[in-house]
Amino acid sequence: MKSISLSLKIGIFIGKGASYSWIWFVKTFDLLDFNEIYFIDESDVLNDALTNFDCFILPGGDPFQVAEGLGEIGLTKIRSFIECGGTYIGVCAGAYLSIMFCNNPMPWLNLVDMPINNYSLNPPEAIRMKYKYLVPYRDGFVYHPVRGPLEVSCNGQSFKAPLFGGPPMLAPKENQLAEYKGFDDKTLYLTNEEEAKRTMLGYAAGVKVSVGKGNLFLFGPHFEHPNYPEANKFLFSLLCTLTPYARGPPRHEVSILEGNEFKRWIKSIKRELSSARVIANGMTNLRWKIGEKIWEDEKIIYFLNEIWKTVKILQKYGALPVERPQELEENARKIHSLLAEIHVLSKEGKSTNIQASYLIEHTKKLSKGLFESYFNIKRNEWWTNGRKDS
Amino acid sequence: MDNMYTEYYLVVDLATGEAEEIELEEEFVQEYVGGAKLNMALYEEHKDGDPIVLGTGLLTGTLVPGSCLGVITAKSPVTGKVAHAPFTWSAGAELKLTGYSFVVIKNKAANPTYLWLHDEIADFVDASELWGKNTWDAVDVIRDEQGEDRIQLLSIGKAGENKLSTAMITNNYWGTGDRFGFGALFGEKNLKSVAMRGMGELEVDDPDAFIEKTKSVFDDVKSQVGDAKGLDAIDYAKIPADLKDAAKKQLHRVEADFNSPLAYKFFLKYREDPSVMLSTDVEEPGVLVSDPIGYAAIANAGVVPADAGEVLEAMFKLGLNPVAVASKLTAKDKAGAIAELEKFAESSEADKFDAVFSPIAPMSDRTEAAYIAGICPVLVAKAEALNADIFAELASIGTGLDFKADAFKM
Repeated sequence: MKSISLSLKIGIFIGKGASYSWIWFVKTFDLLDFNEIYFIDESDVLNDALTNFDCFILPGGDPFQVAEGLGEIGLTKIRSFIECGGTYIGVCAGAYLSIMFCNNPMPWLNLVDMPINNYSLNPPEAIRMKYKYLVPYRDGFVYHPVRGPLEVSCNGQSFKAPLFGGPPMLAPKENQLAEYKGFDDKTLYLTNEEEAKRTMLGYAAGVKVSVGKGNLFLFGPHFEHPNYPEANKFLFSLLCTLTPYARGPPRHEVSILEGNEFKRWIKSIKRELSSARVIANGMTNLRWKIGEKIWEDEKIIYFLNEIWKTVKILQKYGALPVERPQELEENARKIHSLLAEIHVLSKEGKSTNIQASYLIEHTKKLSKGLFESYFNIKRNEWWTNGRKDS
Repeated sequence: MDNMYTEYYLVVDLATGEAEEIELEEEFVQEYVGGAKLNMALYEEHKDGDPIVLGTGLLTGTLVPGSCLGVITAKSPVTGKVAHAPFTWSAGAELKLTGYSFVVIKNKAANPTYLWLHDEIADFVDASELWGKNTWDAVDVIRDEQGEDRIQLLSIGKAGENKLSTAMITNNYWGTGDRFGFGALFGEKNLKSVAMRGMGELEVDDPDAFIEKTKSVFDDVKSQVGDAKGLDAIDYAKIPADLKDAAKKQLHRVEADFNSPLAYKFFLKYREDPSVMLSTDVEEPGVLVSDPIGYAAIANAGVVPADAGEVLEAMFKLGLNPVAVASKLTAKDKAGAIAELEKFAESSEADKFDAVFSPIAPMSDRTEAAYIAGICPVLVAKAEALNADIFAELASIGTGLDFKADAFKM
């Protein structure tokens, strides 16, 4: 069972609207020893790349932006992937995207007709973090009563998982995988505790719904968060039940960088990334609204730090399989120059939303390329055994 | 080196613009430990390039109290011998966190340059526009250019550019323990600054034991250091009473070096009310007295005590060693004294003066050990709990190697 799941070909969506939380999947899958991990964006979806995956993950982020980026054609391709036997895992934004939770839903994926308990025409008052609390949706609002760790139960077993805006779902018992059981002393209340309990507790935190030959797994909490090993186990146990679907090899050609070319390339990436980290770590309390999602500067720092750690691992190899290395170098340069621009503009009190939006885009592209190299190395044992430190 | 140090040290050739990363091997560390001792070994190895070696100790940047020390090793233009000068504040720890525990800077750049060290990257940056600027402006320009206000800098002002033996390498806006004219060496090499910023992490072999030991050392050090602050924390007889009074009137806050319980540095405000704690529009409200001996020397030269802070500020901006130049002042007022300092900095006089370690951290077995371990010598002078035995124990726990107290001797 375990070996089947570890060979699953998993595509993680990192395109428009995806937040930084997909990195949690990367870290957790790495620890769990999943090596067939790939990163896809809207253009991959439009180019029928999904057929080459067993499982497609739509992580946290902004469902409005995700839907806009994919467009009706992209959304149709995802529907078709599921109906033909693929597995869809939607976390937070990925869950909202696929649920029809009001009478007049937005033109999203809309595969599951299911109410959620945090949609209201008159949501309760926020007591903190107003900018994170409400998201307008049609005539009402999706509201987020709590953030942070809370208790989830599954088959009588309780464990902790973090919630950052995911839905409490009203699902038939047979679809329910986990429910919100209670809060934690570290749970942050964005509305009063009673309202939060009324909205969340007893409702589904995870559901499984079959559509056509495929399945959707929809989660409110981030079971993939690497700081929550019990939640990771729960996720792993579900992945063990998946049926392979992929029709072909998921990835395209890669260039092999070796010798001086490799050394120059990795140094160049490090130079730009290091400069970017220096600037990013000096930013204080910057916040951007991209689509309906609020991005704080600390998210950028987290992103850059995780990329940096990957670069440090990759540099230990004497050679590297990389897809479009020059583009990655350019992404790194852009990340540095955009952060420099943000630094100057923010000191002058000017808006940096446009720059931040490009910054996120380039950061995703660079991390995608580097993480794919990393997993490419991991899944080719001959490489680590034969070429490391050569 | 897996623990306590970075994996590599750096050899920079300013003439060719090349930077070579060399593995910092365990055997090398076992033999020379670090700080001034390991610097010395690197100096000998590269002495053909008239090197300036910047180095850290095994304990620099760790949780050990006073772990702020970086050491500059080079041939002193004043004494003609190889000497070691301390730099503290946050710069010692920052150097290690750039990814290079040691940096050997050889030869001379063709044009004014600054060296930008960040996260295992060494960049040579053109400093033509900075040449001629005072150290404060240089700090502002470089921090702006690289986009981060916490970049730590070792720089020179006009005195260093003019290769005066009274030149001092400054740390950000303030002074260092450079009493050996190393500022002139930066000038010789066309090196305006070394800028440092890193987000590196240090590995420790046995973190739990290391934390436990550092906690007990900290308790001992704290009880020996006591609560004295600012000038009261300094054991130095030659501080005039009227200077102490002036300092009290202008005192804004006291400051300690990175991870040190001894707040012997203090900030004076003389361009705005010293009781103002919030940042105001006054861009240069005062000076950090990072060198109480230099500050005392200014008053002892006859400058009005209330003006001593502003005169010290001028010395830092020009990159002059306060101890070396204070006795040359003839003017008693700040305007006259500052004008004289500006003239000194522009001169080409080869001054001779007594280049000795600061009297607040006089050389002793424990100070010597501190220069090797990477611990603030001023703190060590006051806290007997910081000694070669403790350094050896902490170094052994941190590295997993076996260090004896004897290793902490030159």
